[in-house]
Amino acid sequence: MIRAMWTAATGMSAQQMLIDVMANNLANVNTTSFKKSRAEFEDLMYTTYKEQGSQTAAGGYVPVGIEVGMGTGPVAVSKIFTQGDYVQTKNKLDLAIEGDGFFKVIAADQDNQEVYTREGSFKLDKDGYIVNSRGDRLQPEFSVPSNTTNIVIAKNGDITCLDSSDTVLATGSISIYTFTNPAGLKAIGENYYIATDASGDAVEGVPGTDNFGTIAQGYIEMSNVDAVEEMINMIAGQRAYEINSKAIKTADSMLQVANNLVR
Amino acid sequence: MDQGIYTAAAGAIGMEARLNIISNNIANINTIGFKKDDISFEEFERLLDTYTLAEGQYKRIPIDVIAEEGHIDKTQGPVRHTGNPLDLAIIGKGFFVVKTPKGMRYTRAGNFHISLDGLLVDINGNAVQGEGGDIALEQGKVIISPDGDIKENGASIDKLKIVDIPSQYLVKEGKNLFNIRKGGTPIPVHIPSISQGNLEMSNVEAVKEMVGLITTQRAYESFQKVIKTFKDTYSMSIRDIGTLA
Repeated sequence: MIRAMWTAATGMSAQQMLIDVMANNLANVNTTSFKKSRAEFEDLMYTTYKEQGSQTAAGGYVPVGIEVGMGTGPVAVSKIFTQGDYVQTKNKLDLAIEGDGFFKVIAADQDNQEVYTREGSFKLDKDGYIVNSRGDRLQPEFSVPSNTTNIVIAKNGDITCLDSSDTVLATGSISIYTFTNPAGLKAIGENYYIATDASGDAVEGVPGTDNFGTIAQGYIEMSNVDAVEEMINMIAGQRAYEINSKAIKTADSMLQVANNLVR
Repeated sequence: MDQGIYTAAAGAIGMEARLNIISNNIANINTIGFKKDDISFEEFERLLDTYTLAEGQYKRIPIDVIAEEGHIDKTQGPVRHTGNPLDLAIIGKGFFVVKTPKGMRYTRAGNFHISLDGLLVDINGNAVQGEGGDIALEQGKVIISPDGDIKENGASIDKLKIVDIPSQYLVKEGKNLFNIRKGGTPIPVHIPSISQGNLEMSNVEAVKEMVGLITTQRAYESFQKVIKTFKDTYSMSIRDIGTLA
Protein backbone atom coordinates (compact mmCIF):
# COMPACT_ATOMS: atom_id res chain seq x y z
CA MET A 1 0.00 0.00 0.00
CA ILE A 2 2.68 2.47 1.00
CA ARG A 3 4.47 1.21 -2.13
CA ALA A 4 1.82 2.92 -4.28
CA MET A 5 2.65 6.27 -2.72
CA TRP A 6 6.35 5.98 -3.41
CA THR A 7 5.68 4.69 -6.90
CA ALA A 8 3.45 7.63 -7.74
CA ALA A 9 6.03 9.96 -6.17
CA THR A 10 8.64 8.73 -8.66
CA GLY A 11 6.12 9.60 -11.36
CA MET A 12 5.70 13.11 -9.96
CA SER A 13 9.43 13.79 -9.79
CA ALA A 14 9.81 12.46 -13.34
CA GLN A 15 7.18 14.88 -14.61
CA GLN A 16 8.88 17.65 -12.71
CA MET A 17 12.11 16.87 -14.51
CA LEU A 18 10.26 16.79 -17.82
CA ILE A 19 8.97 20.30 -17.13
CA ASP A 20 12.45 21.48 -16.07
CA VAL A 21 13.99 20.31 -19.34
CA MET A 22 11.13 21.78 -21.31
CA ALA A 23 11.39 25.14 -19.55
CA ASN A 24 15.03 25.34 -20.61
CA ASN A 25 14.08 24.47 -24.20
CA LEU A 26 11.39 27.14 -24.25
CA ALA A 27 13.69 29.72 -22.67
CA ASN A 28 16.08 29.09 -25.57
CA VAL A 29 13.49 29.22 -28.33
CA ASN A 30 15.31 32.23 -29.82
CA THR A 31 18.89 31.28 -28.93
CA THR A 32 21.06 31.02 -32.03
CA SER A 33 22.00 27.41 -32.84
CA PHE A 34 20.50 26.08 -29.58
CA LYS A 35 19.82 22.33 -29.60
CA LYS A 36 16.87 21.12 -27.59
CA SER A 37 17.04 18.41 -24.95
CA ARG A 38 14.64 15.61 -24.24
CA ALA A 39 14.17 13.91 -20.88
CA GLU A 40 13.87 10.16 -21.25
CA PHE A 41 12.46 7.79 -18.65
CA GLU A 42 12.52 4.08 -17.97
CA ASP A 43 10.59 1.84 -15.63
CA LEU A 44 12.39 0.85 -12.43
CA MET A 45 12.81 -2.67 -11.08
CA TYR A 46 9.92 -5.04 -10.48
CA THR A 47 9.04 -6.99 -7.39
CA THR A 48 7.43 -10.39 -7.69
CA TYR A 49 4.22 -10.93 -5.75
CA LYS A 50 3.69 -14.36 -7.10
CA GLU A 51 6.19 -16.44 -9.01
CA GLN A 52 5.15 -17.99 -12.28
CA GLY A 53 5.42 -21.77 -12.07
CA SER A 54 4.87 -21.92 -8.31
CA GLN A 55 2.42 -24.45 -6.96
CA THR A 56 -1.05 -23.44 -5.91
CA ALA A 57 -2.81 -24.84 -2.84
CA ALA A 58 -4.99 -26.91 -5.13
CA GLY A 59 -1.91 -28.58 -6.57
CA GLY A 60 -1.85 -26.77 -9.90
CA TYR A 61 0.79 -24.42 -11.19
CA VAL A 62 0.52 -20.69 -11.53
CA PRO A 63 0.70 -20.02 -15.26
CA VAL A 64 1.48 -16.33 -15.05
CA GLY A 65 2.91 -14.64 -11.99
CA ILE A 66 2.35 -11.16 -10.71
CA GLU A 67 5.01 -8.54 -10.68
CA VAL A 68 4.62 -4.99 -9.57
CA GLY A 69 6.85 -2.18 -10.72
CA MET A 70 8.48 0.42 -8.53
CA GLY A 71 7.72 3.40 -10.73
CA THR A 72 9.74 5.40 -13.17
CA GLY A 73 13.08 7.13 -13.23
CA PRO A 74 15.00 9.42 -15.55
CA VAL A 75 17.56 7.57 -17.66
CA ALA A 76 18.93 10.33 -19.88
CA VAL A 77 18.49 13.86 -21.05
CA SER A 78 19.42 13.58 -24.73
CA LYS A 79 20.46 16.49 -26.87
CA ILE A 80 18.53 16.38 -30.10
CA PHE A 81 20.80 17.54 -32.92
CA THR A 82 18.20 18.11 -35.58
CA GLN A 83 18.65 21.08 -37.85
CA GLY A 84 17.39 24.45 -36.70
CA ASP A 85 15.88 26.92 -39.16
CA TYR A 86 18.19 29.21 -41.11
CA VAL A 87 17.80 32.94 -41.10
CA GLN A 88 19.41 35.07 -43.75
CA THR A 89 21.33 37.98 -42.24
CA LYS A 90 23.53 39.02 -45.20
CA ASN A 91 26.26 39.58 -42.65
CA LYS A 92 29.55 38.35 -44.23
CA LEU A 93 30.69 36.63 -41.06
CA ASP A 94 27.44 34.93 -40.14
CA LEU A 95 28.06 31.28 -40.89
CA ALA A 96 25.64 28.39 -40.63
CA ILE A 97 26.55 24.72 -40.93
CA GLU A 98 24.16 22.86 -43.19
CA GLY A 99 24.38 19.26 -42.04
CA ASP A 100 26.53 17.68 -39.35
CA GLY A 101 29.47 19.32 -37.66
CA PHE A 102 30.64 21.97 -35.25
CA PHE A 103 32.98 24.93 -35.31
CA LYS A 104 35.88 24.73 -32.91
CA VAL A 105 36.85 27.73 -30.79
CA ILE A 106 39.25 28.19 -27.89
CA ALA A 107 37.24 29.36 -24.91
CA ALA A 108 39.35 32.03 -23.23
CA ASP A 109 37.32 32.07 -20.01
CA GLN A 110 37.10 28.25 -19.81
CA ASP A 111 40.81 27.56 -19.19
CA ASN A 112 41.52 27.91 -22.91
CA GLN A 113 40.01 24.53 -23.63
CA GLU A 114 38.80 23.49 -27.04
CA VAL A 115 35.05 23.80 -27.26
CA TYR A 116 32.64 23.09 -30.09
CA THR A 117 29.69 25.15 -31.17
CA ARG A 118 27.25 25.53 -34.00
CA GLU A 119 26.79 29.18 -33.29
CA GLY A 120 28.25 30.98 -36.31
CA SER A 121 27.72 34.69 -35.76
CA PHE A 122 31.38 35.64 -36.07
CA LYS A 123 33.06 39.03 -35.88
CA LEU A 124 36.60 40.34 -36.16
CA ASP A 125 38.63 41.26 -33.11
CA LYS A 126 41.08 44.17 -32.94
CA ASP A 127 43.86 42.03 -34.43
CA GLY A 128 41.68 40.99 -37.34
CA TYR A 129 41.07 37.43 -36.11
CA ILE A 130 37.71 35.80 -36.65
CA VAL A 131 36.06 35.52 -33.24
CA ASN A 132 32.59 34.72 -32.00
CA SER A 133 30.38 37.04 -29.96
CA ARG A 134 32.29 36.12 -26.80
CA GLY A 135 35.62 37.03 -28.38
CA ASP A 136 36.83 33.43 -28.62
CA ARG A 137 38.86 32.71 -31.73
CA LEU A 138 37.62 30.36 -34.42
CA GLN A 139 40.02 27.44 -35.00
CA PRO A 140 42.18 27.17 -37.05
CA GLU A 141 42.84 30.85 -36.39
CA PHE A 142 42.58 33.17 -39.33
CA SER A 143 43.51 36.83 -39.46
CA VAL A 144 41.79 39.10 -41.95
CA PRO A 145 44.08 41.80 -43.38
CA SER A 146 43.08 45.30 -42.30
CA ASN A 147 42.42 46.69 -45.79
CA THR A 148 39.96 43.91 -46.65
CA THR A 149 36.65 45.13 -47.94
CA ASN A 150 35.03 41.84 -48.85
CA ILE A 151 35.24 38.35 -47.37
CA VAL A 152 33.97 35.40 -49.37
CA ILE A 153 33.47 32.09 -47.62
CA ALA A 154 32.73 29.17 -49.90
CA LYS A 155 30.57 26.15 -49.12
CA ASN A 156 33.72 24.12 -48.49
CA GLY A 157 35.03 26.61 -45.94
CA ASP A 158 37.58 28.39 -48.13
CA ILE A 159 38.02 31.99 -47.02
CA THR A 160 39.07 34.61 -49.56
CA CYS A 161 39.77 38.21 -48.50
CA LEU A 162 39.48 40.83 -51.22
CA ASP A 163 40.27 44.54 -51.26
CA SER A 164 38.29 47.25 -53.05
CA SER A 165 39.86 46.38 -56.41
CA ASP A 166 39.04 42.65 -55.97
CA THR A 167 42.66 41.68 -55.42
CA VAL A 168 43.07 38.60 -53.25
CA LEU A 169 44.79 39.67 -50.03
CA ALA A 170 44.72 36.42 -48.09
CA THR A 171 43.16 32.95 -48.20
CA GLY A 172 42.40 30.41 -45.53
CA SER A 173 39.97 27.68 -44.69
CA ILE A 174 37.51 26.82 -41.98
CA SER A 175 37.41 23.25 -40.69
CA ILE A 176 34.45 21.65 -39.06
CA TYR A 177 34.40 18.82 -36.59
CA THR A 178 32.12 15.86 -36.15
CA PHE A 179 31.67 13.28 -33.42
CA THR A 180 30.74 9.61 -33.48
CA ASN A 181 28.03 10.24 -30.92
CA PRO A 182 27.12 13.94 -30.79
CA ALA A 183 24.39 13.18 -28.22
CA GLY A 184 27.23 12.35 -25.80
CA LEU A 185 28.66 15.89 -25.93
CA LYS A 186 28.52 17.86 -22.73
CA ALA A 187 26.75 21.20 -22.97
CA ILE A 188 28.61 23.74 -20.83
CA GLY A 189 26.41 26.71 -21.61
CA GLU A 190 27.19 29.66 -23.87
CA ASN A 191 26.26 27.44 -26.84
CA TYR A 192 29.44 25.47 -26.19
CA TYR A 193 29.92 21.74 -26.08
CA ILE A 194 32.96 19.79 -24.96
CA ALA A 195 34.00 16.30 -26.04
CA THR A 196 33.49 13.49 -23.52
CA ASP A 197 34.27 9.78 -23.40
CA ALA A 198 30.74 9.18 -24.61
CA SER A 199 30.97 11.45 -27.63
CA GLY A 200 34.41 10.32 -28.78
CA ASP A 201 37.13 12.59 -30.08
CA ALA A 202 36.44 15.28 -32.62
CA VAL A 203 37.12 14.37 -36.25
CA GLU A 204 38.34 17.32 -38.30
CA GLY A 205 37.17 17.62 -41.86
CA VAL A 206 36.65 19.83 -44.86
CA PRO A 207 33.07 21.06 -45.09
CA GLY A 208 31.12 19.24 -47.77
CA THR A 209 33.26 16.10 -47.81
CA ASP A 210 32.06 12.75 -46.46
CA ASN A 211 29.55 13.43 -43.75
CA PHE A 212 30.65 16.97 -42.96
CA GLY A 213 28.07 19.68 -43.50
CA THR A 214 28.63 22.66 -45.74
CA ILE A 215 29.02 26.28 -44.71
CA ALA A 216 26.47 28.88 -45.68
CA GLN A 217 27.72 32.46 -45.56
CA GLY A 218 25.27 35.16 -44.55
CA TYR A 219 23.00 32.82 -42.61
CA ILE A 220 22.69 31.89 -38.99
CA GLU A 221 21.11 28.77 -37.60
CA MET A 222 18.27 29.37 -35.19
CA SER A 223 17.17 27.22 -32.25
CA ASN A 224 15.68 23.84 -33.14
CA VAL A 225 13.08 24.18 -30.38
CA ASP A 226 9.56 23.85 -31.72
CA ALA A 227 7.34 25.95 -29.47
CA VAL A 228 4.17 24.00 -30.34
CA GLU A 229 5.77 20.66 -29.53
CA GLU A 230 7.11 21.99 -26.23
CA MET A 231 3.70 23.38 -25.29
CA ILE A 232 2.10 20.01 -25.93
CA ASN A 233 4.77 18.29 -23.87
CA MET A 234 4.16 20.81 -21.12
CA ILE A 235 0.44 20.07 -21.02
CA ALA A 236 1.11 16.32 -21.04
CA GLY A 237 3.68 16.73 -18.27
CA GLN A 238 1.37 18.80 -16.12
CA ARG A 239 -1.55 16.41 -16.47
CA ALA A 240 0.67 13.44 -15.76
CA TYR A 241 1.85 15.22 -12.63
CA GLU A 242 -1.76 15.72 -11.53
CA ILE A 243 -2.77 12.15 -12.14
CA ASN A 244 0.22 10.88 -10.16
CA SER A 245 -0.86 13.07 -7.26
CA LYS A 246 -4.31 11.45 -7.51
CA ALA A 247 -2.71 8.03 -7.07
CA ILE A 248 -1.01 9.26 -3.90
CA LYS A 249 -4.31 10.67 -2.69
CA THR A 250 -6.08 7.38 -3.34
CA ALA A 251 -3.39 5.49 -1.43
CA ASP A 252 -3.82 7.99 1.39
CA SER A 253 -7.60 7.53 1.48
CA MET A 254 -7.18 3.78 1.58
CA LEU A 255 -4.76 4.04 4.46
CA GLN A 256 -7.31 6.21 6.23
CA VAL A 257 -9.94 3.53 5.70
CA ALA A 258 -7.58 0.94 7.15
CA ASN A 259 -6.88 3.18 10.11
CA ASN A 260 -10.59 3.55 10.76
CA LEU A 261 -10.95 -0.21 11.26
CA VAL A 262 -9.75 0.20 14.80
CA ARG A 263 -10.88 3.21 16.68
CA MET B 1 -14.05 -16.76 14.21
CA ASP B 2 -15.89 -16.80 10.95
CA GLN B 3 -14.15 -17.24 7.64
CA GLY B 4 -15.78 -14.10 6.31
CA ILE B 5 -13.57 -11.59 8.06
CA TYR B 6 -10.48 -13.23 6.53
CA THR B 7 -12.11 -13.27 3.12
CA ALA B 8 -12.74 -9.53 3.35
CA ALA B 9 -9.19 -8.94 4.52
CA ALA B 10 -7.86 -10.93 1.55
CA GLY B 11 -9.99 -8.79 -0.73
CA ALA B 12 -8.60 -5.62 0.81
CA ILE B 13 -5.04 -6.90 0.35
CA GLY B 14 -5.87 -7.71 -3.28
CA MET B 15 -7.01 -4.10 -3.76
CA GLU B 16 -3.70 -2.91 -2.35
CA ALA B 17 -1.87 -4.99 -4.95
CA ARG B 18 -4.08 -3.47 -7.61
CA LEU B 19 -3.39 0.05 -6.39
CA ASN B 20 0.35 -0.63 -6.55
CA ILE B 21 0.03 -1.75 -10.15
CA ILE B 22 -2.10 1.24 -11.13
CA SER B 23 0.40 3.58 -9.46
CA ASN B 24 3.22 2.05 -11.46
CA ASN B 25 1.24 2.47 -14.68
CA ILE B 26 0.54 6.10 -13.87
CA ALA B 27 4.17 6.77 -12.90
CA ASN B 28 5.17 5.48 -16.33
CA ILE B 29 2.66 7.52 -18.30
CA ASN B 30 5.53 9.33 -20.08
CA THR B 31 7.97 6.40 -20.34
CA ILE B 32 8.93 5.58 -23.91
CA GLY B 33 7.73 2.15 -25.05
CA PHE B 34 6.13 1.32 -21.67
CA LYS B 35 3.44 -1.38 -21.64
CA LYS B 36 0.90 -1.22 -18.85
CA ASP B 37 0.21 -4.01 -16.38
CA ASP B 38 -3.12 -5.31 -15.35
CA ILE B 39 -4.15 -7.73 -12.63
CA SER B 40 -7.07 -10.07 -12.45
CA PHE B 41 -8.67 -11.64 -9.42
CA GLU B 42 -10.15 -14.99 -8.92
CA GLU B 43 -12.27 -16.58 -6.36
CA PHE B 44 -10.16 -19.08 -4.54
CA GLU B 45 -11.96 -22.13 -3.40
CA ARG B 46 -10.86 -24.69 -0.94
CA LEU B 47 -12.48 -27.96 -0.05
CA LEU B 48 -13.71 -27.62 3.46
CA ASP B 49 -14.55 -30.64 5.50
CA THR B 50 -17.68 -29.84 7.36
CA TYR B 51 -18.78 -31.92 10.26
CA THR B 52 -22.41 -31.35 9.58
CA LEU B 53 -22.41 -33.28 6.33
CA ALA B 54 -22.55 -37.02 5.90
CA GLU B 55 -19.35 -38.93 5.49
CA GLY B 56 -17.70 -38.41 2.12
CA GLN B 57 -19.55 -35.22 1.41
CA TYR B 58 -17.84 -31.87 1.18
CA LYS B 59 -19.06 -28.40 0.97
CA ARG B 60 -17.21 -25.85 -1.10
CA ILE B 61 -16.85 -22.50 0.54
CA PRO B 62 -15.19 -19.69 -1.33
CA ILE B 63 -12.74 -18.30 1.13
CA ASP B 64 -10.45 -15.88 -0.58
CA VAL B 65 -10.25 -13.43 -3.34
CA ILE B 66 -6.69 -13.65 -4.49
CA ALA B 67 -4.70 -11.88 -7.09
CA GLU B 68 -4.50 -14.56 -9.72
CA GLU B 69 -2.64 -13.22 -12.71
CA GLY B 70 -0.70 -10.24 -13.85
CA HIS B 71 -0.96 -9.36 -17.53
CA ILE B 72 1.14 -7.16 -19.67
CA ASP B 73 -1.08 -5.24 -22.03
CA LYS B 74 0.75 -5.16 -25.35
CA THR B 75 -1.56 -2.75 -27.15
CA GLN B 76 0.08 -0.14 -29.32
CA GLY B 77 1.04 3.09 -27.59
CA PRO B 78 0.61 6.45 -29.32
CA VAL B 79 3.40 7.32 -31.76
CA ARG B 80 5.06 10.69 -31.35
CA HIS B 81 7.02 12.37 -34.11
CA THR B 82 10.48 13.51 -33.07
CA GLY B 83 12.34 13.84 -36.39
CA ASN B 84 15.43 12.30 -34.82
CA PRO B 85 16.78 9.71 -37.31
CA LEU B 86 17.73 7.24 -34.57
CA ASP B 87 14.28 7.29 -32.94
CA LEU B 88 12.44 4.19 -34.10
CA ALA B 89 8.90 3.07 -33.38
CA ILE B 90 7.45 -0.36 -34.07
CA ILE B 91 3.94 -0.14 -35.43
CA GLY B 92 2.09 -3.32 -34.59
CA LYS B 93 3.66 -6.38 -33.07
CA GLY B 94 7.27 -7.10 -32.30
CA PHE B 95 10.16 -6.06 -30.08
CA PHE B 96 13.65 -4.77 -30.74
CA VAL B 97 16.35 -7.15 -29.52
CA VAL B 98 19.23 -5.74 -27.46
CA LYS B 99 22.29 -7.51 -26.13
CA THR B 100 22.76 -6.86 -22.40
CA PRO B 101 25.45 -8.31 -20.13
CA LYS B 102 22.76 -10.71 -18.86
CA GLY B 103 21.79 -11.92 -22.32
CA MET B 104 19.33 -10.92 -25.00
CA ARG B 105 16.51 -8.66 -23.87
CA TYR B 106 13.58 -7.15 -25.69
CA THR B 107 12.26 -3.62 -25.81
CA ARG B 108 9.74 -1.36 -27.51
CA ALA B 109 11.65 1.79 -26.55
CA GLY B 110 13.29 2.88 -29.79
CA ASN B 111 15.23 5.91 -28.54
CA PHE B 112 18.53 4.66 -29.88
CA HIS B 113 21.93 6.28 -30.07
CA ILE B 114 25.32 5.62 -31.57
CA SER B 115 27.93 4.42 -29.11
CA LEU B 116 31.54 5.53 -29.01
CA ASP B 117 32.57 2.46 -31.04
CA GLY B 118 29.95 3.21 -33.67
CA LEU B 119 27.32 0.65 -32.65
CA LEU B 120 23.61 1.30 -32.59
CA VAL B 121 22.75 1.11 -28.88
CA ASP B 122 19.77 1.69 -26.63
CA ILE B 123 19.70 4.40 -23.99
CA ASN B 124 21.59 2.20 -21.52
CA GLY B 125 24.31 1.34 -24.04
CA ASN B 126 23.08 -2.17 -24.92
CA ALA B 127 23.78 -3.03 -28.56
CA VAL B 128 20.67 -3.26 -30.74
CA GLN B 129 20.70 -6.48 -32.72
CA GLY B 130 20.30 -6.85 -36.45
CA GLU B 131 19.97 -10.09 -38.36
CA GLY B 132 23.77 -10.14 -38.42
CA GLY B 133 24.40 -9.27 -34.76
CA ASP B 134 25.53 -5.84 -33.56
CA ILE B 135 24.81 -3.02 -35.97
CA ALA B 136 27.93 -1.00 -36.80
CA LEU B 137 27.22 2.40 -38.26
CA GLU B 138 29.72 4.57 -40.07
CA GLN B 139 29.19 8.28 -39.91
CA GLY B 140 26.57 8.91 -42.47
CA LYS B 141 22.91 9.30 -43.14
CA VAL B 142 21.02 6.34 -41.74
CA ILE B 143 17.79 5.44 -43.40
CA ILE B 144 15.66 2.69 -41.93
CA SER B 145 12.90 1.48 -44.17
CA PRO B 146 9.55 0.29 -42.74
CA ASP B 147 10.60 -3.37 -43.05
CA GLY B 148 13.64 -2.72 -40.83
CA ASP B 149 16.25 -2.58 -43.57
CA ILE B 150 19.11 -0.28 -42.52
CA LYS B 151 20.67 1.77 -45.28
CA GLU B 152 23.68 3.94 -44.73
CA ASN B 153 24.81 6.32 -47.46
CA GLY B 154 22.57 4.38 -49.80
CA ALA B 155 24.05 0.95 -49.11
CA SER B 156 22.07 -1.67 -47.21
CA ILE B 157 24.13 -2.78 -44.20
CA ASP B 158 21.83 -4.88 -42.06
CA LYS B 159 18.22 -5.53 -41.12
CA LEU B 160 16.81 -4.86 -37.66
CA LYS B 161 15.96 -8.03 -35.78
CA ILE B 162 12.34 -7.84 -34.68
CA VAL B 163 10.76 -10.66 -32.70
CA ASP B 164 7.39 -11.18 -31.12
CA ILE B 165 6.79 -12.80 -27.74
CA PRO B 166 3.38 -14.04 -26.57
CA SER B 167 2.10 -11.97 -23.61
CA GLN B 168 2.09 -14.88 -21.19
CA TYR B 169 5.84 -15.36 -21.61
CA LEU B 170 6.76 -11.70 -21.18
CA VAL B 171 8.36 -10.55 -17.97
CA LYS B 172 9.40 -7.01 -17.23
CA GLU B 173 12.89 -6.31 -16.07
CA GLY B 174 12.80 -2.55 -15.65
CA LYS B 175 14.91 -0.16 -17.75
CA ASN B 176 12.28 -0.55 -20.50
CA LEU B 177 13.43 -4.13 -21.07
CA PHE B 178 11.47 -7.35 -21.27
CA ASN B 179 12.73 -10.87 -20.76
CA ILE B 180 11.21 -14.20 -21.76
CA ARG B 181 9.92 -16.63 -19.18
CA LYS B 182 10.92 -20.24 -19.19
CA GLY B 183 9.18 -22.10 -21.98
CA GLY B 184 8.74 -19.12 -24.27
CA THR B 185 10.62 -18.58 -27.50
CA PRO B 186 10.85 -15.40 -29.55
CA ILE B 187 9.03 -15.63 -32.85
CA PRO B 188 10.76 -13.72 -35.66
CA VAL B 189 8.62 -11.05 -37.28
CA HIS B 190 9.63 -11.22 -40.94
CA ILE B 191 7.80 -8.17 -42.17
CA PRO B 192 7.82 -5.66 -39.33
CA SER B 193 6.62 -2.10 -39.59
CA ILE B 194 9.24 0.35 -38.38
CA SER B 195 8.73 4.08 -38.38
CA GLN B 196 11.89 6.18 -38.37
CA GLY B 197 11.90 9.56 -36.64
CA ASN B 198 9.07 8.51 -34.33
CA LEU B 199 8.85 7.12 -30.82
CA GLU B 200 6.20 4.90 -29.33
CA MET B 201 5.01 6.43 -26.07
CA SER B 202 3.52 4.67 -23.05
CA ASN B 203 0.20 2.88 -23.69
CA VAL B 204 -1.13 3.92 -20.27
CA GLU B 205 -4.46 5.70 -20.64
CA ALA B 206 -5.09 8.32 -17.98
CA VAL B 207 -8.88 7.88 -17.93
CA LYS B 208 -8.78 4.11 -17.47
CA GLU B 209 -6.23 4.40 -14.69
CA MET B 210 -8.32 7.07 -12.94
CA VAL B 211 -11.38 4.83 -13.10
CA GLY B 212 -9.18 2.03 -11.76
CA LEU B 213 -8.12 4.25 -8.85
CA ILE B 214 -11.72 5.04 -7.98
CA THR B 215 -13.00 1.47 -8.18
CA THR B 216 -10.03 0.22 -6.19
CA GLN B 217 -10.59 2.74 -3.46
CA ARG B 218 -14.33 2.08 -3.26
CA ALA B 219 -13.86 -1.69 -3.25
CA TYR B 220 -11.35 -1.27 -0.45
CA GLU B 221 -13.91 0.73 1.52
CA SER B 222 -16.51 -1.97 0.98
CA PHE B 223 -14.15 -4.61 2.34
CA GLN B 224 -13.56 -2.39 5.30
CA LYS B 225 -17.34 -2.21 5.88
CA VAL B 226 -17.54 -6.00 5.81
CA ILE B 227 -14.70 -6.28 8.32
CA LYS B 228 -16.39 -3.70 10.51
CA THR B 229 -19.69 -5.54 10.35
CA PHE B 230 -17.99 -8.73 11.54
CA LYS B 231 -16.30 -6.76 14.28
CA ASP B 232 -19.63 -5.35 15.44
CA THR B 233 -21.19 -8.80 15.34
CA TYR B 234 -18.41 -10.21 17.48
CA SER B 235 -18.59 -7.46 20.03
CA MET B 236 -22.32 -7.83 20.16
CA SER B 237 -22.07 -11.57 20.80
CA ILE B 238 -19.40 -11.08 23.42
CA ARG B 239 -21.43 -8.40 25.13
CA ASP B 240 -24.96 -9.67 24.78
CA ILE B 241 -24.95 -13.46 24.62
CA GLY B 242 -24.93 -14.87 28.06
CA THR B 243 -26.28 -11.85 29.79
CA LEU B 244 -29.58 -12.41 31.40
CA ALA B 245 -32.42 -10.32 30.14
